Amino acid sequence: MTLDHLPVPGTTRLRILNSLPRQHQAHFFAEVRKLCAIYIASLRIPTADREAEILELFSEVMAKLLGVTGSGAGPKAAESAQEDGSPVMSGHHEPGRDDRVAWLLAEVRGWPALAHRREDIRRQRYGGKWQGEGYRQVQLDEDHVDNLSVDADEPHHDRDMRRVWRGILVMAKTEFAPTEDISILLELMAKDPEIAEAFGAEWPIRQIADALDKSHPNAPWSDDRVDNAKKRLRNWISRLKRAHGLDSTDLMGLFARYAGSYDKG
Amino acid sequence: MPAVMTKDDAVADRALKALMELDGESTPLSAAHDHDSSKPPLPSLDERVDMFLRAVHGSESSFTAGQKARARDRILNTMAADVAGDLSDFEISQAAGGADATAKTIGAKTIFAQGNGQKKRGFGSLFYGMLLLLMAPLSAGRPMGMRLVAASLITMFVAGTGWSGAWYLAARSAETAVASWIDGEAKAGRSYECGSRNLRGFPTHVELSCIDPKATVALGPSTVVVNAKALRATASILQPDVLTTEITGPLSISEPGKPGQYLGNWTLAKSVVHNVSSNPTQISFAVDDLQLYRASQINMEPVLASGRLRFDARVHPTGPGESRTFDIAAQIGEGSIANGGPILSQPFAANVSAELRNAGGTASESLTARLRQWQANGGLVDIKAARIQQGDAVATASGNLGLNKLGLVDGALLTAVTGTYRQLAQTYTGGRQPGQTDRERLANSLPEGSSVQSRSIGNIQKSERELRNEAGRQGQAPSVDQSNAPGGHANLPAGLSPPSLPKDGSFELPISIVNGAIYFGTTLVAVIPPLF
Repeated sequence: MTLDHLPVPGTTRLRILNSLPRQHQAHFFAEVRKLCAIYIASLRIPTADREAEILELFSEVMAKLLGVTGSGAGPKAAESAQEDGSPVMSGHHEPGRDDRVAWLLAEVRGWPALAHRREDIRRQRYGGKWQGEGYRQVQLDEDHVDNLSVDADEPHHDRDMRRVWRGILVMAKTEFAPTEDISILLELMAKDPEIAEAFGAEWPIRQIADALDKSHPNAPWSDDRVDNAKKRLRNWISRLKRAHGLDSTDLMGLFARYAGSYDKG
Repeated sequence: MPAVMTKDDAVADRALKALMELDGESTPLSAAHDHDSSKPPLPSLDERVDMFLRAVHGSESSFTAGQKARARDRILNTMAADVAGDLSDFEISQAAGGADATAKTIGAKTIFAQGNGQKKRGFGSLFYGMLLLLMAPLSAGRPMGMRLVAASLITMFVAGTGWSGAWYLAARSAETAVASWIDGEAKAGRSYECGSRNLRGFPTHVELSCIDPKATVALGPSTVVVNAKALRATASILQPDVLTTEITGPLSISEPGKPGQYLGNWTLAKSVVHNVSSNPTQISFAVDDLQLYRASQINMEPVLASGRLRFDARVHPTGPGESRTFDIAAQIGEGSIANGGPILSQPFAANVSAELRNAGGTASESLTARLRQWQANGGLVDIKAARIQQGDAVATASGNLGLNKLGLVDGALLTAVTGTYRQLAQTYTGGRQPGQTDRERLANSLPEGSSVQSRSIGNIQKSERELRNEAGRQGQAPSVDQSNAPGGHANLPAGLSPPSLPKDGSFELPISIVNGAIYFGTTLVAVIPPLF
């Protein structure tokens, strides 16, 4: 690996995949499935078990391909800003001759990913470690899905809300310094029940300023200062939604899952 | 992890809702909202889910709500892990320093982490963190950095070469040591073979694997052949004198040229020996889910089983000139001995701690020779504490055991028994013949007692009369005719006495072993043949 040959961001692959016509996408999926079959065959797994192994590996590869983020945190923020978009490639009406499909397949082959994806599967299945900490995926069964709702009386709702807040706070810590107004504001919203109760159609700006004045008396909080922090918060939330293509509900789901990943790490 | 409020969480929902709705959008974002229209857009979550389902199930399928929910869940989990992994890499690159964004990107985007999204704190991240440290001055274009990079690379090359050389030497030494050991064992009447043998384990350890291992061992006048499926012996480069061995079953024990008479299997069989190159200072082994059967032409009869078997022997610190003593600890969980009579054929748990004194001999000697030497040295097993339990029946014991010049076991144990064992012990007392029916009845009262008959088929416990006659033929114990003297105790071996009166909650039962004959109180219960 040299300085001139930087790895391609995962978001670039996903953008290009998303730009393909359905027929081309289907061709790409079929080719990746073949790659997985070849890899599984090379492991000398019994024939009877191969189909299941291939499907599992293929779905893991696809999940990793589709689950990349253009996060607002970390180097991906800089990377997204520097990203020059997709490589210049020409399309073609035939999937097998489309440069974008060929490029994507080359990217999949270029990864040492198949072996790593299989290790991911093994780790998820047996709870082992992959060069460090790992995480478990929890699959929803049919009953869970049938009963799923956003009713506040749902038994796990409170726990889920707490996890969402934890995810927000942890992710914010990586983006903002603890002394920044936005961090202080989030901590207050997460931990002060009186402030939380005051939320309605409008933000309780005055109450927030008073509460922050009491807890941080050295630097007085005005309504304008709270409002500025709120604007920064709005920009951050908007950026996260845009970067991941998520609505409010899915973003909360991402925060909750991130809290789970962080806890296990 | 910051603590958040736990009470009145319905109120917290309002604050969360207000936060999530800050940008005013409530519908999934798609290409129209991408701030840079020059790039192809990232798909929304729904679009990702749709792609995933079409990839896995095919374009022609229609997808159920359950499939969509599972796919959604999976994608979100992967996205969360990707964020978590990205943040982890960012922390590493920040710690590595360097203001160059390119260098940061290199540090963050390793080929191990590419498209991965997992937190990588292990060997891969460490390696690339080091690479980042090396490359940072290079990217900054400082001349001094070139020398640093060159020196670092040379150091890494030298270290790598040295390590490889050390591993190669260790591997060759291991092969030589194994060959020498096999030669020495052959002189002691034990030979070992492998169907195939491999040496590997670079760079951290040396591993010798043996497929289809076979051991041929002389035991007195007879020879047994032991076959297993595989054997693997491993020693770390950093701890070369600690040898770990794993044996994969099934195992068969037979006489040469005959089919397996005993067959065994387990889920784990592992041993660890410290100071293996000279006199071992610690020997441990562990066996899980052991099953041993005696194979006949008709069927396979269980012999013994154990859910968990552990053994550990460590050299006890002794002064100069003192003979070696081992501290021994052993444990059996869910054990059963099918041939052990109606009691021991039931599951039991047992543990023992003891001292093996005056252990000596050399590895090249046969077992018989070592036992003779041990006896000649005044060897003794001092049982500090032994315990066996089956349900509410508990027996604890302490005492000592040794060998006499004839190779027969001599010793004494003081045992306290409670629960069903107490009632059982009382069947051996009272000056009457021991009640086989009593013992079977009591065995049935133990947990899982109803399986007595199926376990003891063909192995009806011998009566004391039969045992005495048998022992008498071997010259070990008085014959039954003499034991019928009035009082029942007139011809007891010296030193034996009737059991003491029961105390509160427990019953003391002295166990004596005289010339291999085991007495519970005054009742002969079993005979151990000579060990050499």
